[in-house]
Amino acid sequence: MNPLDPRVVAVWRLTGLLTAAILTAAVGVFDYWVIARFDLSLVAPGVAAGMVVILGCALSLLWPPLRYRFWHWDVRPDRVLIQKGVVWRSRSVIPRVRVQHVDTRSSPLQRWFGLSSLIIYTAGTRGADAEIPGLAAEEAEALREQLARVEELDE
Amino acid sequence: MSSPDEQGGWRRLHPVTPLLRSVQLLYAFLIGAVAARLGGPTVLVLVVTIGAVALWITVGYLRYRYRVTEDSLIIHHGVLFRQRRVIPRSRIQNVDLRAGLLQQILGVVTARAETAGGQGTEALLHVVSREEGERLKETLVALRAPLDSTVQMEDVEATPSMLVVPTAARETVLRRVSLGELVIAGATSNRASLLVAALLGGDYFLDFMPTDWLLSRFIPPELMAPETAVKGLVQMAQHNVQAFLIGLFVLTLFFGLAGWAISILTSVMRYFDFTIAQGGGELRVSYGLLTRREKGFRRSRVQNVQIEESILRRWLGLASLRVQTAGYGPGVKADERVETLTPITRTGEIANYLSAVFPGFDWEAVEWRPSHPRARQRLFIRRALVIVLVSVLLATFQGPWGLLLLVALAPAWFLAAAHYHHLGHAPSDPYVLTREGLWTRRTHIVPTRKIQSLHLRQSPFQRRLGLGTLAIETAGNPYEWHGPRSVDVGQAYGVDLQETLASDVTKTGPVF
Repeated sequence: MNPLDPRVVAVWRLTGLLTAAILTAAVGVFDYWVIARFDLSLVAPGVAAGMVVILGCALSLLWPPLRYRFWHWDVRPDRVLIQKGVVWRSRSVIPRVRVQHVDTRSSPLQRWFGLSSLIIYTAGTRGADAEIPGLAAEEAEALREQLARVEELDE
Repeated sequence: MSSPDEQGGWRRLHPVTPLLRSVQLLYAFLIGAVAARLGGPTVLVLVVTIGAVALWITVGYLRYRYRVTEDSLIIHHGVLFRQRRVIPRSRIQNVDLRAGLLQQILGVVTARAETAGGQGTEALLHVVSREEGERLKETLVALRAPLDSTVQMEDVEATPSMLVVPTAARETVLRRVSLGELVIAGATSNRASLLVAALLGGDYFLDFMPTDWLLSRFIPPELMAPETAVKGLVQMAQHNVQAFLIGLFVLTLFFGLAGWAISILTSVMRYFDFTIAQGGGELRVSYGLLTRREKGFRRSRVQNVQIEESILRRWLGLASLRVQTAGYGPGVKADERVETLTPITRTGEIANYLSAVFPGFDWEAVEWRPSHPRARQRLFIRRALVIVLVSVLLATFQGPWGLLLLVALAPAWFLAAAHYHHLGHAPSDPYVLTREGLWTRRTHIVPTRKIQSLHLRQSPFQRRLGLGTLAIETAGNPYEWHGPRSVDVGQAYGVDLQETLASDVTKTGPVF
């Protein structure tokens, strides 16, 4: 089983921090708005926002390494294997004869670190589409080509 | 439908279409009324909006034309934006016919051509005459069938000579569900108890049932509370226990019977004259009293079959069966991906239904394997946690007698043990079976070649016990309930099973 590219930890951390920042802003605005409008001083202003900042930062810094440790994938001759989950574990097997098509996708943040996601589609409706989130861009491309090639061979 | 509008094979919808569409006039009226409210000359606004909608409907009808050619169904329509849709016959999965009450009276149907994995590329012919619907169904579905390789694979008897035989001619009725059976289906449905609860709640808040009148026949008027009967009963409990008990009995009986009656009525209305027929690789069900539905599905498209047995039905040896098909667009509602195979059947007959869907499948020969014995612990812990939590809360807030609730742990253990017996799976290549559920047991039968992916999931609790749940993913799973899955198998065994099934799937090759 292969681990993800280690750079994905940084991507996850940054995504987490960004989300935390947006959340903090939202909570802060709400905080300010509610207190100003209805004169509700439940707690000192800024406490809710402060908590979001602390929790958000802690989670987005500490969680990604754990997540990384439990993320493993493998492309075998006849199946794709994905094992992940820190608290709720899951182990998915996708037979390659059921792969419909394969995409690579990269967010601006991923591109900055030279990473891509590999997305594997099957005809399943729910949870059947597998995503391998942090692969080196070249590796993702190579895997995409490899998976697509087998499809053609089988037909 | 042989009228001047038929030029070069082009056909129009049934002439009553504008009439049925004119329900939209109601919306126009509403829009007009709202607009008038906001100011402006009322009558003018109303006339203009209604006129505009009437014009829209008429022009829409005149613009809608369709044609069946050698290899496709072509539809031209659109009032402002013209649309020309070409649906290759090879993509059409089947044609469903549906007729509401008004449509049945007028002798017309709504025909819908469903396409494989279509992204909204389906055709809705609203409305055509009944005969035209049947004709479309036969020409669009029957001619295409032999092109489909999966059907040939399954139906060895499918010879090219069938090309010319229309579907209807080789259709045989497998089973007709009688009125009596439908009454039983309604009476044993889980819906009955839900209805009782809904009626009770509804009457509590809205007071729409004649419960006051009913209670006043049994209970002296001075004890009657002026509020809704259910509320009144609660108050009565504080004054006169005997009256309360009589009232409780009467109301329970009343609501029970009412809920039951409605459940039976809906079952009969929905599934009236349920008929399942077979023709070639296709199964066709038709049912309904007010809205008559007629749906066909090809055996090769069936993703899995679900057997549902509520506890009441298990005792009576009854079950209901449903099939899940794929090939419907993502916009299709979940319940339309699921088709009733039979609303009710004796368990002895299940094998017949199953072999109609999966030829060669032997229901009697299935060897069930239980889940891991430790599953019993988990089933118990799940219930025990709730009991302990509630009793502790009661003890803290209401007094130490709350701990008496801990006695419920004993029945919880028995329930867990009983529940365990209903968990199981049976890998009997080329099918996989799973079952779960104590109050309503659901059994899934999945053809191995329909498996899309396999997921072994573990919650933290399961991990401690070394258990896992193996979920089997097929196309067209609705979101309403769990798909086929084997709950609480041993972790190592689960991984083994997952790998074996994946190898079995690979052996079946690509299937589309």
